[in-house]
Amino acid sequence: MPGVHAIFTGADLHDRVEPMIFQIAKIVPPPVRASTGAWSRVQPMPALPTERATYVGQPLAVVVADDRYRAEDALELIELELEPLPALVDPLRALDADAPLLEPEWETNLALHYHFVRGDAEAVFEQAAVVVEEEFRSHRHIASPIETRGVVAQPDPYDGRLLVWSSTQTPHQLRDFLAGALRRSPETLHVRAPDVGGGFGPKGAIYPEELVIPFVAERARQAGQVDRGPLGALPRDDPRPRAGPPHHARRRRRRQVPRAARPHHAQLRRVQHARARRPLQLADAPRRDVRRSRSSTSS
Amino acid sequence: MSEQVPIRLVVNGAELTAEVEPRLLLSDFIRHQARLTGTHVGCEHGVCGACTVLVDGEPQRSCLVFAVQADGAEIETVEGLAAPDAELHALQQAFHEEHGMQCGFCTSGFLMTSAALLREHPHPTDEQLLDAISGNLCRCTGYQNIIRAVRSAERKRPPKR
Repeated sequence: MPGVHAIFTGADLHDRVEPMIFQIAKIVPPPVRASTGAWSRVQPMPALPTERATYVGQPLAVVVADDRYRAEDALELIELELEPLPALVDPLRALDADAPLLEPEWETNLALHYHFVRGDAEAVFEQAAVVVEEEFRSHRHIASPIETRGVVAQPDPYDGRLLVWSSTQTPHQLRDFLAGALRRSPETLHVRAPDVGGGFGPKGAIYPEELVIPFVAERARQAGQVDRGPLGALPRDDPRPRAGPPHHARRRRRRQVPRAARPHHAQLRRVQHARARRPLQLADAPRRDVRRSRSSTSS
Repeated sequence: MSEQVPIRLVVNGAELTAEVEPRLLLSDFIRHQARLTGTHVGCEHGVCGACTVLVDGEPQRSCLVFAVQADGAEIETVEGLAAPDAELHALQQAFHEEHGMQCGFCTSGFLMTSAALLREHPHPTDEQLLDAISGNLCRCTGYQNIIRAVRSAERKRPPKR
């Protein structure tokens, strides 16, 4: 197709790129662990999945093209064969013994657990004149900067460094992450966070696109498919990428998917997460039957 | 690849001609063909207003307009607000002084909307002001300083522009 240069799927990445692991999930300082019994599951995630899509908006394929219009034309030609799996969208349901397991190798869906106690809560309650018990639910919410995420990558033609621009709150973290994932030394990566149009937290995480686009830039360059790095533009809730300089990479995804589960999609991740990030499931230990939990209504 | 259509626009006083696909969005034309990246794209849905430009004096969402629809029109973007000698427009100065912007991503849309408002209503009522900017979203400021900025510019703006 004229103007379309390459297509990548999970199969092209899976043995060339390390799976993504949220480093923060691995770091529980010993004092914190001691006082909270904190436990978190390390969840390696492929940059592009090869077997299962596990959340709404997960990228499944990337197209490299001269501009977003060409990329969209190419995307139209991609046919997805998806076999629906049971969707899991309620965090309480996720903890049921018979809940579908998000990862077949897990015994439960629990990904993060901590229990915090300070002082003698029991004694205080017993001495209280009145005890109120309540269960609180808060809806899913997401910080929504007006600027969507976006990432550009370009191999430096002279010294082989990989130049990356990302609308990120954590360029150093991204640089170090890319070094590990792309198996290159950090000195060969240069990550820039230009003027970021709002972050509010979610841009402090690392997203598959921030790995896929630099990878695609490297590969496409090596294959002579492009002479400049491709741009991946990332939507927020609506997958409308923004175009950029000559080349444009996009990923195939479901469009306009509401935040509530659509049962016919492949297995859906649970509720509390920004799009395209590895969600953490919080299970607060009950305190006197007062529990916080999240409902799955759209925000 | 679909047909190319010749268009002619005046953007910030300069005439531009181009051959474009009918499906090219005005926002993409402004940002990529005209290389004016002050206009931002936040949602491409017509919801956030960050892409607001003036088309023949009227605020419009450039993400919902095709470039071919703007053939023959006069477009004003945020780059056209400041004077040629780079002195800031009263609104821009006011946004700066009143801290009406933080990340700045929505700001160009607010500036264009406000510029059109003050041209039509040099001294808008609260209702007119709020109604006019109700189509622009901001995630950073909470809007109060934006309103202060528009009021400040209202007091200071020169007769024209």
